[in-house]
Amino acid sequence: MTLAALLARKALLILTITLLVASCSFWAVHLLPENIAMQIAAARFSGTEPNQQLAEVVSQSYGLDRPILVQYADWLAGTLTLDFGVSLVTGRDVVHDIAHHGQNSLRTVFWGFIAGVALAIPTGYVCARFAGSHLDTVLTVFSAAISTIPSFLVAIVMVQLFVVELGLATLSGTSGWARLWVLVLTIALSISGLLSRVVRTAVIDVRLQPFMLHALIRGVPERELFWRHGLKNALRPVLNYLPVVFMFLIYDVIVIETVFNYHGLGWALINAVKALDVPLMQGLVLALVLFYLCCTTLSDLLTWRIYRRKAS
Amino acid sequence: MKHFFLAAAVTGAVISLTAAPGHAGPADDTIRIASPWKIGALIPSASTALSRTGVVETLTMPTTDGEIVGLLAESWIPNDTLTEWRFKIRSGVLFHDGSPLTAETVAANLTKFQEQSSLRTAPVTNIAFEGDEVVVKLDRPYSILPAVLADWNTGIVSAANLTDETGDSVAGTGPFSVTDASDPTMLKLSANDDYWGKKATIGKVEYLFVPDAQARQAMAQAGEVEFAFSLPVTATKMLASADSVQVQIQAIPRVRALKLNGGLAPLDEVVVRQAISYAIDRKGIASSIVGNPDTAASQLFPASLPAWHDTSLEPFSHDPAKAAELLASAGFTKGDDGILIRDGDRFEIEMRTYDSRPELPVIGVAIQSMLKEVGIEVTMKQGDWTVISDGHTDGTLEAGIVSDSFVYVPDPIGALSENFYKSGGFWGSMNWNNDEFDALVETYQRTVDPEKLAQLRTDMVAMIHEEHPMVTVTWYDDVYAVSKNVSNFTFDVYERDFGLNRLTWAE
Amino acid sequence: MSHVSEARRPWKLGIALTLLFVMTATFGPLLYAVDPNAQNLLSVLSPPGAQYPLGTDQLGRDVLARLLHSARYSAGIAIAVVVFSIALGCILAGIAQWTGGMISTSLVMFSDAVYALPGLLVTLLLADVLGGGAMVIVFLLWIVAWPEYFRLSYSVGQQIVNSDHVLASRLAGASGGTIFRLQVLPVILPYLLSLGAISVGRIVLAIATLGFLGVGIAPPQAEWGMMINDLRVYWQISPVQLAAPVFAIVWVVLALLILSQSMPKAKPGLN
Repeated sequence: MTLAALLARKALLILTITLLVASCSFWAVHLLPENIAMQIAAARFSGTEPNQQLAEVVSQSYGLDRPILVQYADWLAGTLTLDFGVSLVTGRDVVHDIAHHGQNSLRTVFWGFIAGVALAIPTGYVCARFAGSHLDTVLTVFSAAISTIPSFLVAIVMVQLFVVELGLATLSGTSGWARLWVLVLTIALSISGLLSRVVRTAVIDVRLQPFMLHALIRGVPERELFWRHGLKNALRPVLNYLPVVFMFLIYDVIVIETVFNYHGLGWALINAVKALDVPLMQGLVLALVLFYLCCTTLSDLLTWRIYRRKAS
Repeated sequence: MKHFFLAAAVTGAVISLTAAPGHAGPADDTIRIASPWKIGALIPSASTALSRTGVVETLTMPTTDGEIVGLLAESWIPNDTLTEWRFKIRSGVLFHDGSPLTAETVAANLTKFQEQSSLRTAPVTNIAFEGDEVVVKLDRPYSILPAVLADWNTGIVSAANLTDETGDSVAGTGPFSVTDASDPTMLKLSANDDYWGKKATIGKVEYLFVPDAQARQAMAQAGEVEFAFSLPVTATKMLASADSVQVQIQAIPRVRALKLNGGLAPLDEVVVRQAISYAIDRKGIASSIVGNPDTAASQLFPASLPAWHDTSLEPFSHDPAKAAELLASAGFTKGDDGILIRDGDRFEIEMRTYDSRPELPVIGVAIQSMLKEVGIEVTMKQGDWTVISDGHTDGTLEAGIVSDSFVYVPDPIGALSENFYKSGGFWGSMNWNNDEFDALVETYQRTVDPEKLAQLRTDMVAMIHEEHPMVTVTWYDDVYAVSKNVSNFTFDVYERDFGLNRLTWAE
Repeated sequence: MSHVSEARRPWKLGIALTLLFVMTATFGPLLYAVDPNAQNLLSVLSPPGAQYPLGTDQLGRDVLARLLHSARYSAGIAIAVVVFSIALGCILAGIAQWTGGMISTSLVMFSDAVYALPGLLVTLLLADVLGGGAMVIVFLLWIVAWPEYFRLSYSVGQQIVNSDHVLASRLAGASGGTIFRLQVLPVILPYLLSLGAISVGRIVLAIATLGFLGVGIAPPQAEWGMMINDLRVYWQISPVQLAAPVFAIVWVVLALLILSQSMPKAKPGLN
């Protein structure tokens, strides 16, 4: 596949999904009996008595008195131009909130991902090199368990242990290593479990390849052989697996941020959901979805870049 | 590929390093507050944070004895018929943006936020200014205007903040000014050196919105914050071993209640609401969930408001048999599944709760089960407090577990007129219209004779006691944690000001 | 080879653990017939004892009863979602296979789009707006779960439909239904079931996450995630009550883990 075709396909996918999410949130809200004009009025003029006149004014200023299909088209157009409206709670631009919380999330997700990969590759490699040994069994069971246990449980334990009991980490603020290291560790643990198992399988597979066995028999040292020829082959399944890892990252963002009181996109989403702040909810969900899609696109591009010669 | 990783690493590093780490405590002269209340829009009528942290101030304030004294108003005087009040505005006061406090600005504030603050319960016809006086005209005699203007939501901001745009900052007159509000979950303040009153000795304040009660408790326990408000009552046991923090329990004139939509059948019938009241085991809730059996409400007002607490009233009681009897008399029969039916309609209601006060959802589930016992099916919906206010506004609320202070307006008549007058308010009754009660409220608001006032109080309280426009469940103990690093803190039972300018660091 | 026999042992253990979970969910509430929502405000957070084998929660409700009813709730939702997803996935795959052309392409594209969506996000976005409840949860988990089954049955189906013996049956005049019943279904079923078993575990965890976040599951429904969230404030006072739902989750996790490691791989080797 050419780069242009790959990019075009990804762009189409992103567009489809954006429209899908935007449609879902629009219809879910507009098919409900609750009067959205009233809700907006209540938030915007927080505290005012219910008042039909006010609702009509708001209704007009938001264009809620137009036919529903016109509103729908308008909503989609707004979404595509990243105009999500204003938060019903703070009255600020949703994009402002997304940028603010997104920056926080990016900080932990980036380092969490790096740490996770840094943890997974050596673990997986060691497991594969000593496949079948006790070390392998222990590491595999541990990594499998930690990756399947819901991350909220892991996060609760981390908070109790490192924040409350040992006082080695904090629950406030959004920066500084004292704040971030537990979050990064929790994210890293949750993704490295999965990833290390993929690495393990990939390395075992590569070691069993005929060209590897052949070279080994001819006396080429294994380590050198692996770095020269094996790595590229072992990396492919790992790269293919990245979308699943990114999916886990997104879930971690929501759950772990909530438990750690870390003010990122996931934390904001849960609070927006509780406040039924629809514009903010849909903006945050789209931001998370787009972030996920961009990550998968990047990993696809990387795969394409490394392996394009084979493909052509 | 190398370039990609390099670019990614650089981006990541930049993102990580853009903000400096923050530490609290005497070391950097910062008080940190973990609060369950979101900051919201930066307007005084919408954000309790602005008044409680001392950013904005009101015209008047209550003393601890409940007497109303001047804050931004130096003095005031009504005309003989109590239909016109003149407030003399304090001179020499500057807003944080440098502009002077004038009667004109105050009048503009009161006019702009009239519908969003407690002023909407006053029969105001006109707000104007003359020289250094603000003149408020009313269409009927109104004796409690100074008390109404002590409510936190009538705070005054500078003229530049009176536009329709909600900005990133706000300028009030208080002992602390906003230095950074770009983070929607945190308010950074610093001491106002030009403050007209008692200047703060503590340099900086960070007000943190922490919605999760467990996180607030953990932050207090770890000594990360100087204050954590609205903790679960078990915090006293959980934090007993913490050496840097003390958990305090403070009774405040506040109530937890079951708000009912009185415009919705069958909740519009007095007997049905009485039955609901009989079905609720207040003692059980008070002792096991609130942790203090004495908070079980026997009537609307607690004994700490002696003028309003009527000892002659028959206390609320838990009597499921009586409840069943009343419901049967209203024409309900039990269906096969144990749920009451009348004319083919099952008795089912949706009840909303919010968790900023962590015990409310627990009380909600307890009441859900108690009502099930008498045959009322309750479905629960949990959100934040906006599910109550929005539901009240758009009329979709059926029932809700709420909590409200009696003394935001330092005279409980303020809470009564806010919550029960006409069709009610967010934290009180809903669609309960009782002309007789409304007439009593209006009479009270123009009466000055103490004996007549006492009689009116008795009549109003008795009416609410009988009709249950909202079902009172418990009175209130507030549980909060305060660091031992801080001294001079007193809890403001009016919940309008943390008094941060009086705090000092402990030696 | 030894590799196979090694994989078989845990496979049985996984099945046993899963079966045990389903059995507990089915019969547990019958054998231990205590109302999970009956509260006793006089004995809140009481430790395990004769009357309450696992103690009581913050409202004096029996934790064991709640644990068992939660198992039933989660298992019920998970199985419903898997059954619906298999049904929808197979039907759509059949349609795509038989019609081909535009319809097939657009179905594949649509399922790719839904598949690429982080499912929990959609559930979070819609569960609160739609008001929660078991039916809503089933519906929401269903609309994000089916593409997996569609992709699987579509790719396996394609392989079979293009094979020689199906072609022979077609030439012999067998109807589409017959071919599906006799030649497609037997091949595809093991894949679907192994994917289904793994899905059940995953969905149980997703429900626990929703319960923990307090979205979409309304009290007084007993649910493990919600029990953990409610009780974690009291962890020093009532550790057993908090540990109980945690162990329940770990149990399901373990079953799922062993199954997913050792079941026949649901990858037909086609793309």
